[in-house]
Amino acid sequence: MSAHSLALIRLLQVSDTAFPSGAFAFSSGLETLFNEGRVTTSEGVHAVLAEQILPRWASFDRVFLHAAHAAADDLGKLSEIDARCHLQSSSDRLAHASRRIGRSLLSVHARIGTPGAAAYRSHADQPDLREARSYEPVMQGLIGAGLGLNVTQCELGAVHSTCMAFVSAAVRLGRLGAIEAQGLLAATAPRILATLEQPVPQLAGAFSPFAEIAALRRNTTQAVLFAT
Amino acid sequence: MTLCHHPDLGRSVRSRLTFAQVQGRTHLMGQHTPHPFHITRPFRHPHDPQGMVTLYLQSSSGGLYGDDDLALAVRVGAGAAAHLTTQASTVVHDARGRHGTRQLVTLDVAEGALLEYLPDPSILMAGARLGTRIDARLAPGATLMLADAQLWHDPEGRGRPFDWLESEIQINGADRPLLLERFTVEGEAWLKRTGGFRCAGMVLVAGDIRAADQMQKAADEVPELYAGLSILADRDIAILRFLARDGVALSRALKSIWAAARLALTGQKPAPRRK
Repeated sequence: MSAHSLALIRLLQVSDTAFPSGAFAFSSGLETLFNEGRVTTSEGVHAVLAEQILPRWASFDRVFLHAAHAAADDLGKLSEIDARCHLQSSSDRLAHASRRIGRSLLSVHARIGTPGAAAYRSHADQPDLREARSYEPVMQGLIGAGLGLNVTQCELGAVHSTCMAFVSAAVRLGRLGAIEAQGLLAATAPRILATLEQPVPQLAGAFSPFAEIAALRRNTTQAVLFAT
Repeated sequence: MTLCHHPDLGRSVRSRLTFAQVQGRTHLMGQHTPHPFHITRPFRHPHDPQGMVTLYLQSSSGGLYGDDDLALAVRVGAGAAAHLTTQASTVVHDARGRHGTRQLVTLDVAEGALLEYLPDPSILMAGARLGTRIDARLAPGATLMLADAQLWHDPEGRGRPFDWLESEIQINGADRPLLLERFTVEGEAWLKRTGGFRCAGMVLVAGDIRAADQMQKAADEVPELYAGLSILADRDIAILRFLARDGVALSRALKSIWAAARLALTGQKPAPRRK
């Protein structure tokens, strides 16, 4: 009971919006979709979350998170997994966002003494690796293992962060009320559960072109709140 | 679903094309194109760079079928330039419960060579199953322009989806892998993933990213196209992804983006290819 409860306490701590993960600086293309009038309703926000963001997390991020969690004690292997994530992160904006969030997580956890974080930060901060390592799902796997979370708890925290960051972006953009956002998250819960009950894909890959293209579009006509 | 060779498939065919530069002109020096592969004679067009040759790939079987296992290996020798395209879209027929089509293309681009591999889109008919893999290797100074596009079509107009599409594109440099692009999508999810667009595609340029902005501008001028640009500067790769409402917009996008990229890379606007 005590080890399990301790892991849950740490999971709640790092999944809280007050935890400085850096994830809330990105909208995953939602801001562009709003600005271009391609998403105009809360149903539209829900559709993007359910049909773009969650499938991408399930088929791409989740695979790297699992691999990193299993390799958390082996710095060399972790770096290889991170390098594979870099190789497969072909959308520059999303890759940049993932690295920024990953670096932020790594930095905070190194400072609060989460096992494994400081050693990997020293490795990933080398000048030739800085723009090719510290991807968010890899760091989530490493840090989750360091916190004593099992892989299921770790992926619960990760998928929660992904959904929260996305919905929070909609709220901060003024397109979703706070209560409406909570309703949307509640409505998405069964879909999240169904996603987690699926087996982890053997190979990482992603096909969410609608949101991905939105995140890639260079907006030159409007001031924007989010980096993607 | 895996993209490896399936020896138990019904029709396993390997083909090969070899281009080389001789005294400033590129020639087709070797070919092995058994049925269903077929090629036209080589063409030359004004304003093409470094003695470029254009070759059209054709299929003598009317498209791809659920038991096809086809491979094409292309080698472009040092300093050579080749434009490889098709005369029309490739129809991927209803697999009718068979394994699904496997298509492997390997592109080997030697030092200082230019390869434009720009097939027309694959048309995924209702019930189609397609696993496609492109494996490219670039030597130092080589440039590769690559298009990959698909659209869904139900000839009976009932909205019956294709079965699945599995795609993998790997770009390798001389001493390291540069990019691995992979996805699997079931036909039932296609419109949800594309935001309602029937067609999706990309044009990728590896070895030279100077054309990136011009590619985006060309895409922006195509009506009914939704496009975004990714620049991987550390690997000299630019990727323009796009979604299109219909095949007309998709074809127009592919032509416009290619022409803009060529103009930016060589200073010469290419002559349109007759199709």
